[in-house]
Amino acid sequence: METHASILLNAGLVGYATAILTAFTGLGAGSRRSFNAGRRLALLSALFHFILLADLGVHHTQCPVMNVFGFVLLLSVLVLLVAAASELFLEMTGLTVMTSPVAFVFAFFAAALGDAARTPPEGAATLAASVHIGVTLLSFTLFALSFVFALLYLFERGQLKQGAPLKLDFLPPLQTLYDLGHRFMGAGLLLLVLGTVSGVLLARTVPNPTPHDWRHDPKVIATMATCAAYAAAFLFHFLPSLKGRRTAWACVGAFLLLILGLWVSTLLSPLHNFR
Amino acid sequence: MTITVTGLNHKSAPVEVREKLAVPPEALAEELAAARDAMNVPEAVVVSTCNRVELYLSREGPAPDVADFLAKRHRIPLSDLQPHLYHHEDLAAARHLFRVTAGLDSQVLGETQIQKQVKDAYQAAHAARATGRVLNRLFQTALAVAKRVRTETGIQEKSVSMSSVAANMAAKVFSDLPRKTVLILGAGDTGRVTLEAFRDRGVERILVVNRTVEKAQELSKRAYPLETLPRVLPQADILISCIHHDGYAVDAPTVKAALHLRREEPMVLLDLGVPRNIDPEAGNLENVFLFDVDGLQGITRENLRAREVEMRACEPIIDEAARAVIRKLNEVR
Repeated sequence: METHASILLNAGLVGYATAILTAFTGLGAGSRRSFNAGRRLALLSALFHFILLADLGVHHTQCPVMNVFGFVLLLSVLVLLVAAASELFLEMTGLTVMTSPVAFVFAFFAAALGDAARTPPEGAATLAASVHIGVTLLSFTLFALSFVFALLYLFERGQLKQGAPLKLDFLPPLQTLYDLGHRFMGAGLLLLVLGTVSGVLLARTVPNPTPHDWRHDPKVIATMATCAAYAAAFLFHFLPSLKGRRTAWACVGAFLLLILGLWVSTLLSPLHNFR
Repeated sequence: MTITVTGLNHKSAPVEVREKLAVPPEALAEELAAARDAMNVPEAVVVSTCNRVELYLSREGPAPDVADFLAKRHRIPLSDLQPHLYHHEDLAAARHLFRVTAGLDSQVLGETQIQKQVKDAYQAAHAARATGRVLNRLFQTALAVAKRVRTETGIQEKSVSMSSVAANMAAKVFSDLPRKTVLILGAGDTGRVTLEAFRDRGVERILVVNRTVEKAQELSKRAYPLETLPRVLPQADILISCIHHDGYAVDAPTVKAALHLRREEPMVLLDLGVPRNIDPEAGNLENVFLFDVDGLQGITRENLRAREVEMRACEPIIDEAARAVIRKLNEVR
């Protein structure tokens, strides 16, 4: 990685870490100033990474990312941007700060992977590839937000069950957190299905496929597992005995499975096996 | 030019003394005219509420005996009145007025009603032509400072009355509180006050269950006798319980049955009874949120403490504004 790219990457990581420390310390001390400073720093860190991605040539036309590093880093940026937009339009105070640890984890994951040689894979420079990767990216972003909503819901629910003074009393009502988490989960699931379908169409365009077909591809297996987990979590809501806390925990579990699947499948194979 | 304030409040005087000095709104003009004539001052404002009576003056000449005026005007022996009075001048007077208007000197720290009361007192004095350049600027600045304190600090953010806290807890569970159904068990004063807090938040659908249906109907047309509680409870998203009852008026199996009929939609139970009306086991049910008197009082105390902490952020704003207004008034003179 070139020096200026490395600087941008690490500045963003340090920025995220500082932002989280500042904001959460401010929360504990009741300091709005520190909390707001943490939020601004998190957004600045996302900006650093956005500039890095632009510098690397990430753009919306034809395959927004060239490798898993770009995918995960762009995911980190998108997660924070969508959180910031939700905070603004849904009037959800504190959402950017609450999402910054997730953005940091993705950014750290990307940094750990490193930016490998950016030779575009076969079949990458097509509309199908752009749609497949873009839609999958968006679905993961929505899953990340639903994860944050689920955690906040579980936290606030625990506080209310105690009947004690609320920490983080700026959080929206419990019902809001639950409904948003469920909707983001549903939207993410829909996008993941679309991403999978577009992936199937993309696979048919790849010339000279190898003998290893898609059924043994780590990424496909991870995606199917994620799909199943999220489908189950989404459907929990419609069963009276499982709605509420259990649905939220299922959402948390599904996201952790997504992270695990992304990590393991990337270690096994940076791209899809069927080239 | 000297600005003074002389008066008494809930901290310096008992209600028996305060009520003797109280000036009803319809008598303000007369009181102001009497004050200006007796003490030969060009400007005067009287702030009279249930917790304070204060006389603000702007004068040029020697200091008048305000205590003597008040004692004679309201027929109180000066020796009875004097120990309860406080007196401030210039910067201290400005600071006092700003603190009062921002609710920092109120019985309930950070309450907002005082701001309107000060505004009404000022407008009454202005209408009676009892104010001029000095008190106009002073009171207009006081109202602006109160607004600034409200927006820049959290002094008014958290509720400090139990009924408001109870309604806030329900609002922390439900995002669409106005569309929820409140069931009130018992038709006594505590329940009524809490019900008002919910009505203030837009709740319209109210059911009442009480031993005597006639008394219940004073609160809502949808009134039911006590024995129908298990049948009515499933309709309620929020239960406010404040009834005298041997043992628990609402037990866990009744709540569980209600939840089942509601397809596990969340319920908020507010137990305002002492001894408790609702079986604490009900709070362990999956989608039930139970708040009792101890819990609500704990939250109220915590909120009051938070307001006291916020007060530290208010004092610099008030001090800066008071210095600025006195400086301005002295410059223009």
